[in-house]
Amino acid sequence: MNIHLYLSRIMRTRDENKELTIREKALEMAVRDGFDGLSMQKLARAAGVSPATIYIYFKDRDDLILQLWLQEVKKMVDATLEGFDPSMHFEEGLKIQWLNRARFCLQNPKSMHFLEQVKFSPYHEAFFKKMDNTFLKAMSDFVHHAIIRKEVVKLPVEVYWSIAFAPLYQLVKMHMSGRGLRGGPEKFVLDDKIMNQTLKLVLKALKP
Amino acid sequence: MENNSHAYDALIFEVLVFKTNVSSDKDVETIGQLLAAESNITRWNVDRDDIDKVLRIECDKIKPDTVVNLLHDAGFECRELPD
Repeated sequence: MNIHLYLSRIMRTRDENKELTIREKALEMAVRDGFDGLSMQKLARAAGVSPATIYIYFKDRDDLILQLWLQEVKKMVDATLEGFDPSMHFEEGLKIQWLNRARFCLQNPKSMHFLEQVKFSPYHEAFFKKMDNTFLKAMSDFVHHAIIRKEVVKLPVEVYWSIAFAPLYQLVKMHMSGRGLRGGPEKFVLDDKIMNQTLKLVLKALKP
Repeated sequence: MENNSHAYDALIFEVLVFKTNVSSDKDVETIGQLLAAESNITRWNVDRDDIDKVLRIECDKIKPDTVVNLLHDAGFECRELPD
């Protein structure tokens, strides 16, 4: 192979715009059609590149889904930890968490959907091991500090999470679909008032 | 299916991509032995979920024809996929 062609192949591996388009289209496709509906051939057509180009960046379909997951997890983690410190008092820290998490979901509905898809798929276990544990450590430090300061009751982690965060995610989902439980034409909206009302009850439930 | 796990980003490598008819575990084993003989190949895998049974190779200065001939000689279909 001549040197010119060789260089062009290396440069091919560095075309960030192409890679970005492929990642965007792949996320869209996974969310719309599910993992089974995501194929390298379909993705190539959607991204306007050849299948060979996709294989420059990703080993295979599973690798593509893993790389997408790592990217979306990072986005979620960065958003969730903004302005947050694990040594904060529980009430203040949880409020920041709620605002950050709600904002992330509302601004990135596809990311949220994709992360949920992975959570309930066979990929989850293998992927989870590849996650940077900064986030999990921050979450764990936060609640353990609060337990030591007697701001939070000691609970199994699943129970803690289900009380501390699940109510928020349920309201976010209702907001995103626009459907509450009452039916009728009125849209359900998660506003500050509803969020604060719910947060207050959650804090009360977690008090020792 | 891969031969080893090199650090991805530390290397500037070339990626070659081929359409093949590699389909069974035994096929993969067979081409694994062929590719192991090429010291310039750092990593390879076959995406058997894909309709093109894509063989992806990370290597340092190997001519695509070398790979094509290697697979042809072993009775496999193989052609480089265009960009």
